[in-house]
Amino acid sequence: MAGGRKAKPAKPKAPTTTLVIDNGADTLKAGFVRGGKIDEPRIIPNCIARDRSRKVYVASDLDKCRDFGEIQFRRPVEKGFIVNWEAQKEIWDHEFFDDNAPMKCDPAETRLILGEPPNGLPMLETNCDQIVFEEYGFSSYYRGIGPTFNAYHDIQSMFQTPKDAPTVSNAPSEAVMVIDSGYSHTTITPLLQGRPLQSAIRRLDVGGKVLTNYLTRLISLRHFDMRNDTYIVNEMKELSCYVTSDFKSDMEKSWKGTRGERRPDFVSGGGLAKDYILPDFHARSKGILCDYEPARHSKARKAAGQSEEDALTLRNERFAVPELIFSPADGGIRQPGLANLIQDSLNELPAGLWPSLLANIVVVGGNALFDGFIQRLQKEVVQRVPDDCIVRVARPADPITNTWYGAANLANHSQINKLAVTKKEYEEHGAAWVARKFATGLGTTFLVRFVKVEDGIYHRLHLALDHPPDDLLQSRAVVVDVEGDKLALPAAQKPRQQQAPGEAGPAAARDGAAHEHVLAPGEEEVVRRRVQVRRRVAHVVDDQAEDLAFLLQRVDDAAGLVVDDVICACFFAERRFCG
Amino acid sequence: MNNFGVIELASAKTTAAPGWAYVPDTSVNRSAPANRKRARNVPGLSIGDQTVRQETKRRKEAEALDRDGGRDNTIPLPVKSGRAQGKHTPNVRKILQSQKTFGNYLDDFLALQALTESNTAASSRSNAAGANNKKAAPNKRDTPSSSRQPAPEEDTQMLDADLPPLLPPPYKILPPDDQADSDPLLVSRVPEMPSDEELRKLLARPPLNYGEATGDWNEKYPVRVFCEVCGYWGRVRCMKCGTRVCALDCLEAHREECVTRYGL
Repeated sequence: MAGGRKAKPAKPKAPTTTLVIDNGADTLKAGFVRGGKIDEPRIIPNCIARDRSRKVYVASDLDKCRDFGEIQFRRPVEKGFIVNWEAQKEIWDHEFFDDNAPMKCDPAETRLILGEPPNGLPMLETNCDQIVFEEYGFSSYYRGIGPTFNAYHDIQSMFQTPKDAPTVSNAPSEAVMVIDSGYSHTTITPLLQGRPLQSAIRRLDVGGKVLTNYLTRLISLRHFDMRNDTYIVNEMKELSCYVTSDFKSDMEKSWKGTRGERRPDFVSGGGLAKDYILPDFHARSKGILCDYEPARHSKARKAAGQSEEDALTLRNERFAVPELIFSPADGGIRQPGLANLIQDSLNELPAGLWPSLLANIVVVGGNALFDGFIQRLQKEVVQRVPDDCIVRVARPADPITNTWYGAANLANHSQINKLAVTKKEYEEHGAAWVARKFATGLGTTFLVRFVKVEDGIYHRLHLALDHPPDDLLQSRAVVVDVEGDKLALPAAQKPRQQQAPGEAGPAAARDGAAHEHVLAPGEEEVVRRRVQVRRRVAHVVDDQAEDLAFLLQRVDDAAGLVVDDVICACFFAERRFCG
Repeated sequence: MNNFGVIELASAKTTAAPGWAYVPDTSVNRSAPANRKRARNVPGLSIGDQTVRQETKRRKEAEALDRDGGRDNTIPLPVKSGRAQGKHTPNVRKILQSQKTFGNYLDDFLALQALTESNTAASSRSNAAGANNKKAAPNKRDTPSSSRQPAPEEDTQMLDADLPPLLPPPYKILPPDDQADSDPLLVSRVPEMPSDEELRKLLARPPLNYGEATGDWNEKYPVRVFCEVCGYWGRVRCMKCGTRVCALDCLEAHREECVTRYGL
């Protein structure tokens, strides 16, 4: 950690160590970014488990578990959101903060980047922020929508497109459609320059959990009761299930036939049936998938007691289970399938964006690992969109950690400094302010206001309410005259040291004694940082919350219609920035 | 009620004796089976009953799919020995002690949202001008959670014209126009990229809330049904309980279960 701090002496304020957590419902992906160097993330089970002999395992202790029969889990994350903080804190403590934690870190010197699913509940977000700052005391923190992190990758290399221009490395991709199919749900997030198009985000409540439960149900109906062994069923699902490209023909192949009939494909397995040999946790700790072998199931052999292993034949279960993602109604879930949902999402957007989004569909999350998922999705999407649109669907090399690596790339990006919130800011402005700042993210609009100062003199005030895309205009409020070139800073009411010494500010701002200063034409007066509203009066303040300009306050003091106008001007700022 | 197609006519005349007449029974009375043989087999369970029962079954199964394996049993946290329990702030203590589930939080949120809506509706009636201005604000970023009443906002707010473009220009220089480009057979119809201003507006749209983000399910296509025994297409329906099976083989397997559940 100390070495990392030395590596970046230019920014003393921002912590150089970043803890990046993609807090999934099944596994949490966590790792450090130290001084620009990205460590390998660890994939930690995000659960507290209890096995048959009532021994309790917390998070990564689960590796030590030898017997997964009838194991039970307690998960702090429900539907993708951290709900039970008692359990989540136990897991985080165990992994990051205990004395003998495998990834020990000191929150006071660390920035936290936490991914969460889109469309969360405000209450849960507030809880999360409060725990992060009040319980752990991270020095800096950013909570963002997990799928958006995937934009911080070289998306074009996933599609194996030759680069046509030397793009700036590490810049967020221009347009991506991220399909995140995880444990709790599958989300569709269209992104533009790494920013989500909120109105087009869609969610399908089918994820790995539903698929596992569905397979459990099928097996319990057809073979034997596995309702207490979801862990084993989950392994079985991961090993044996695939997404079919032709549901109907696979269905025919796996059918046994009418009464008395045994179709040849059924008897031989048809290349489709597989045997899953269940683990017994003595000789075998993992199940094995092998080709269907009729001899294994012969009655004579079973009667002779030769088969010491429990084998389970999987036929149409292999493809009927992941089919739920494309057709949830098969399992009784009244929601449109993934491809329809993508179409639904696109319908929210202008048609001009369709070609770029459709050409860059990226599938992440554990379900992307099913064989045939990408091909099937591409096939179904092509059927639903105009012929002219090229549809490309890609899966990153590791769909599970892709979001994490994206977040790690963001940690190295300059944008994170605009996004993150420090502990001091939290203490100053409160949780609601933090929530609003995170919701704004990398905003796009500038507020331009004309403020009447005296008769005939209007000031055009650019309030940097959020962060413009270009670093050039970053976080600045520019006071400009309406004529554009004649820029005036109105009278400062109190002589005061307006900017921290050493900071390169305009001469006028540093000259505290100047009561009135008119800049030369063409010279730009830049007032740094934030707009803060108190008592319905806006101050333009710098990083240290020192007033730099008294423009609005002064107008407020002035008589007449101007006051209303200023209050309006402040309102927009107030909603975004003040607690 | 099966009264053999006889309906009582309500006449305007009030007589002491009610009038009776035979009228054609136009409503589809599916509970009266056409086939007497079948009628014997169905012990008073109409198709209507069956669909209700199946709908309940479907809903229960969908709920079961959504359940997390270990949610029913709460596993107590292991007792900590090495770690000293620090003091929590009141907020943190409240959060840590909360045993609310996601469902509870979602209900709270919906209740709060309904309350906010009724409040804003009430106040907008008293302040019509305020409501108008609220609509005029193009960059509204009002999450449903913020119950703050928007202040009147005048329409002088605008996007800055000299912001850098949101999307960088294409890297490749477009090839020069060719004569053949305007050929009606060759012309390609690519939709116009939205303008910068449109994109900014789009990006500034407020997030949907949890419930709004799911897609609408439309019953445009019939739901596929599967054999409940083997998983093949469900082509045959059990006459007793309406369960779908694929063929006689599976029907027999199903009947064993059906008999134990519903009797003969």
